[in-house]
Amino acid sequence: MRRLTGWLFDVYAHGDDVSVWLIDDDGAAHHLRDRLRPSFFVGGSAAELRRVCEWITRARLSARLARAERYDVFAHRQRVVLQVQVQIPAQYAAIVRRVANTFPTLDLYNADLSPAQFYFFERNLFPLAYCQVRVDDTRAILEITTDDSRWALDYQIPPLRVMFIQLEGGELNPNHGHRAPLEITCDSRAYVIATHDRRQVVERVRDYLLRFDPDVIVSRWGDSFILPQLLDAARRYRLPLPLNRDSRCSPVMRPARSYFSYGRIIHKTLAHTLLGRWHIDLENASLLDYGLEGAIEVARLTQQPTQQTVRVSTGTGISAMQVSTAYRQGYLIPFHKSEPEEFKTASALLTGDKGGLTYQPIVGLHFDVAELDFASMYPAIMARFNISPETIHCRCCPDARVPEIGYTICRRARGLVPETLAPLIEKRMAYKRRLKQAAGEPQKEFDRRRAAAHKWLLVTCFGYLGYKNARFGRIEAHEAVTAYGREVLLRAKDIVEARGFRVLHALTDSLWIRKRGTPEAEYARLAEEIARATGLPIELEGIYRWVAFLSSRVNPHAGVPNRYFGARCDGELKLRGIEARRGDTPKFIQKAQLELLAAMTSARTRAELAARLPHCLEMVAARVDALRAGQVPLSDLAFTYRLSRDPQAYATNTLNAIVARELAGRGVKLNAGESIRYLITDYTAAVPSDRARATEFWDGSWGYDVERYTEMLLRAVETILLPLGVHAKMLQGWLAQELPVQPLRARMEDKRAHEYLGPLFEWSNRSVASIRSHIAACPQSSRGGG
Amino acid sequence: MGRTLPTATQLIREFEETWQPYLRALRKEDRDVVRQLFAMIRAQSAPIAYASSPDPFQLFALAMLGGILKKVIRLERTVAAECENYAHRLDACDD
Repeated sequence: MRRLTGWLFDVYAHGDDVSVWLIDDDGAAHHLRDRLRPSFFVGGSAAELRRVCEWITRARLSARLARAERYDVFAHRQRVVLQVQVQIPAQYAAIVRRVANTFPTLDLYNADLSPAQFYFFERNLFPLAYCQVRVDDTRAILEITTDDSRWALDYQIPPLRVMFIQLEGGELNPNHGHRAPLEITCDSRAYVIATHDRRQVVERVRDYLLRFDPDVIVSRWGDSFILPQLLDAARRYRLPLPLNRDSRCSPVMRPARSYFSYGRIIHKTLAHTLLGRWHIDLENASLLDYGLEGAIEVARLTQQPTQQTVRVSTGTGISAMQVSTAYRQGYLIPFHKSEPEEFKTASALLTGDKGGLTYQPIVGLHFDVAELDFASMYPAIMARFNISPETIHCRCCPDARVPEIGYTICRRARGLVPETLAPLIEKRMAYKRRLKQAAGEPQKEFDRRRAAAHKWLLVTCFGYLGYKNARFGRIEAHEAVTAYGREVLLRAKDIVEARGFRVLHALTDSLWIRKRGTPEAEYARLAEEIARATGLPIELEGIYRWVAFLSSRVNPHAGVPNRYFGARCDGELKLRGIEARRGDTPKFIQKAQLELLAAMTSARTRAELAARLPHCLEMVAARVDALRAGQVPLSDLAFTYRLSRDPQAYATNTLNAIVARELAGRGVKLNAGESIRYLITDYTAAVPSDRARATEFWDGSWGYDVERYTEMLLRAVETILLPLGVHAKMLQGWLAQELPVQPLRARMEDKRAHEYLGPLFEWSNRSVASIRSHIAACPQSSRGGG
Repeated sequence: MGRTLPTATQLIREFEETWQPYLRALRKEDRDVVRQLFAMIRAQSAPIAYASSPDPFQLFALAMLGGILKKVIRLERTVAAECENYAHRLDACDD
């Protein structure tokens, strides 16, 4: 017997046991095994359960049967069920499938957990927990414990050896035709395998794997291209390829799939996960804005293996956390649940089915604005008011009612959802508190990423509560949350208005308010007062030097709730709904907008903003010059578009359809939900296929459409400058006067150019005072509350 | 997860769409006036959603009237300020 300490790196079923990988303090990997007997439950009448017992016995399935009693959350009572304890963990999924297919009308519970989840739940462990282990001479675990906690703010991550693998020119999609030598980076050194001989490629990759023995393989397009190609070549030439650390098994492959989520189609490519080693494909990972540190935090919290965590949505993560709570409390975990919405009167539906309150902002530029945000409002409501599928319509608490809709909520028993969320909210708040205090930069970045990961988990928990097929979803619970949300926002609005503030904008859980000359301390007092009145924490998100709420492009008189930008007093920019935030906008245009905004950030008044306009226009001119001179890197001009259907299903000749057809014509198999990247070559070309080209097939014989890119650039510039009264026509007129051969400064000082810009731009012969007077004369709609 | 009933924003959009043929036939300057009326409804989308009336047109009408009244009040204030200003100037001339 010996003792080991280290981080729990990987767990999976193999043979009669589970394989457990531990990485010790020196970075050495240890392959251990442990015993696990996962159980699922079958619900039905006594006669039905008897039939199941008989069938399992006759079928000689490797399972032990027992009568058990477990709590059914939706029935609000203990239920007698048949416990099927699977003796070989690797057979668990197959046995569940056989029982489900043979008895399709019976209810199954705890029937779709992975062996790793069972292991974590049974041993009270989680991925990357720092463990103490006792093992025997055969490497069988005798005891495994941890002092580590999922809720610990500070924890160590093991010293992981990372190998990066991609094709040269990594951003280009090899599934869409890009071909280049394989590039492997390890220990800060890059190795290029520049050969077309597939046998040699496999041999070299094998050599690097044996030489560096990485814990993690990070790749670009590894799931869908590099690993399948390597495995195929290894099979063909009968070469060993130790992608797994566990040489007994092959990498686990999961087929590609497309599905709808939040109104859009998502495509998940083929996935390859490894055993005893991680594979993370950056092109197939949901790392959002939190990166690998955040993904590790999500894996620890949700008790899902890291390789799965990065390949599923955060919604699956929050669902896994609820499953963990239910398992701990001995509740039955529904397998295929379908909880239909209960019948309601038309009037009750009108009252309940409203969602959050979304005000229209007062369009224009506003100065000295404060933003107050309820911290994780919906999850906080669930935790504070005990909203959970099993606590709604409580019969024992007739007096505890949801505002507006009047549903009763249990006050005696803590709900499963609040039980899951409360520590998560607390942990996020703790990180946010630390972020506000001065800390070292690396630590701050860790905290930021972990808090961002929590944010995504908390955001999705609300959607899952209202999803009838979610294990612990119930529409009435979802309605209760939004009803509390509306009540809380209106109370907050009443309070700020009573204190003399003007509400410029309000959006579900945040308020933008303004009162001239308000000191920061008053905002803090206001937040405290609102928190007292509503029972929910609210924070001063920031004070803005200026914020611009933009109008709709269709109706310029109307505001749009989610299209604004502003500069905080701490210099940070906040952008929503503008081109710089959109994933499909070319980087060139994003950079142009960010550059303009950076130049405007420090301005405190309308006159100061106007004084920066000449500099802003110089920057725009420089961008146009670069476009015309062909100096913009092509990667910065590429549009990214997610296909909403199969290429042949497009009826019109949009650029997306043209490029999708081009790729399909070249033999690339595209699926709905996949992304394509392309450049505009000639937007007005008579032949549709000349209008745009996929980046992977852009061979240099085509130029890009300078006019079209200039037009799009000016449109993006208009978004930023419109609150100051500068629209695209003004900018086009000004550019029409440009002479590309003249030096920039000379052009800016050419009076003829100014004629096209209106009085605001005649800065060269006007004082700031005259600009101020011009702005004062601007119509109210463009000045807002300034 | 989705909503059963259309949201207030959807109701407003549908209302605007039903008036598209009318807008198309209007002169440009009149069309802009109607668009301003529509914007007045949109400006109150949150209160309209919260009121959840089975007959949303009543709320739309109220929102348009409210928007027009706001403009009238703003004009009244401007006129009153101008009158006061003018009176001061007259007084100064008399002095």
